[in-house]
Amino acid sequence: MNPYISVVVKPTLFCNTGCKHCYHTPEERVEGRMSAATLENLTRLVSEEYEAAWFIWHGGEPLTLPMQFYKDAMELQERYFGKNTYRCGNTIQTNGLLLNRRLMAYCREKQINIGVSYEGPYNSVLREGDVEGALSKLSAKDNRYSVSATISRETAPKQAELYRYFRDKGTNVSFSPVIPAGCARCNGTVPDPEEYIRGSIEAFDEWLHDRDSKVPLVPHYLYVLNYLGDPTPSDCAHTSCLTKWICVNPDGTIYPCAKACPEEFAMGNVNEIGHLSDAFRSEGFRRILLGSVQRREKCASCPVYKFCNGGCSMDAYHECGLENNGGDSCRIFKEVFGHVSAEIQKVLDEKQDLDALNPFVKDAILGKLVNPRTVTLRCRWRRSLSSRPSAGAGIRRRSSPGRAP
Amino acid sequence: MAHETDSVDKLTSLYQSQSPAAFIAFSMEGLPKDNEHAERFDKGDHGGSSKCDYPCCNDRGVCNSWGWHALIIGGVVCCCACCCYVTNGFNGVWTYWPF
Repeated sequence: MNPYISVVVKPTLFCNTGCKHCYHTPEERVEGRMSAATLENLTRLVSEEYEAAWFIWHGGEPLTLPMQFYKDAMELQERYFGKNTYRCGNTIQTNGLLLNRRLMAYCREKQINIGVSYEGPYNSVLREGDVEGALSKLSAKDNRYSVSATISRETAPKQAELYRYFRDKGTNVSFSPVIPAGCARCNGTVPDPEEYIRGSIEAFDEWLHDRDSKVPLVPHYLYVLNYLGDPTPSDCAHTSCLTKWICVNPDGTIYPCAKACPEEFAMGNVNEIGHLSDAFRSEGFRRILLGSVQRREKCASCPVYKFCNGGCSMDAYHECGLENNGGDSCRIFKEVFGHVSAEIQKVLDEKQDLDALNPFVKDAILGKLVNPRTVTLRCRWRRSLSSRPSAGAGIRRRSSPGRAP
Repeated sequence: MAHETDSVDKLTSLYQSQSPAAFIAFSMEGLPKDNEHAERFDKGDHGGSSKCDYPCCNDRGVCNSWGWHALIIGGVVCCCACCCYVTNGFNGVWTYWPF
């Protein structure tokens, strides 16, 4: 048995709205849903080869399907993974327009996470519909969801403002840029990388010194953990996702990624294969592996490579080709991660007052100070990158006196 | 281009070797078998109650002498009498409280 897999399920590609940045073109977003047999085959195949799985219900808009679909899915999971075994978990990623109290109560009962894709006060920049109104109808008890905010050209400089908005609501938020695929290929919504970097750093700086913050800002928080050497999976783009993630379309076709993955990388169909491992031996998977391996060979000498693992293959595919690095996403990661790591290293070097930082960063640093080995290793990298002679020296000397430099 | 003819298994191994840290499987090993975590910090022969350190108690946790017994009983009686006095006969429960 393999330990773990993330499965993005697209039970329908139909959507009740038309976002400007959608990976899927209007021609793809047609009605039609995953059949009961396909759903059962998928659940069975995953349960046979994986100890644990996380199902992310995506789309299209997953809540255009009746609630009974998800009740059936939960029954299948209980049948194949066992009841109360905690072998699998679920997240529904929605645009929020169809959320209601009945569904939220069911999700609470079944411990299903809700992720809402929306941008607060700037929701109308990319999306249609009154999601604010739909969310306001939920009671305080129902109001448990996290937010994925997609940053466009217009909102790139407003990331700090968006952080403040969601912080005041106590809602966990993650930022990611529009990628040049599907509807966003040529409609001007992709942010300017320089502006995105500036906005992202501004939001991080505000979050870093926000002592009262009760929300982790993602991906920056993951970058902090990544730099400190925490064995926590980074965001999917920087965690070597191939072999650990799959996406399944309504007709049962398997793809290695949910993000605008082209037909050429299709890995077979859950209704036609005997084992999920067969999908990982398909020609489509070989193609994406080949391009990714070639790209990562070019990345090997980059000082950030051990933190980004070559980045997202689909971002690279849509920016400058699967086997080429150096696109906007690569540049954004280098700059933002470079800033995050420099700030954290400054805290370590200058022994700053940790109480002046937000509690997430404070806990992460405290956790690593009692496990100095990883800090020492990262410090070495930081020194080679920035050529700052003092980087990490204090921490290493104090914490692990016998270790070779 | 390199690897064009490599099999999918070889490419998978190559991909995983390019980022080994991302493919480490973490597992909970549990505590070492010879640990002492479950032992009492005050281990020893006792009947459940821990030893009382005050001189008025004996090893079994009761009064050391008849004098201490009398003091406890006297204290309780005195306390009840004071309460009765302050509440004017326990607020009327003792109807004929004379004081």
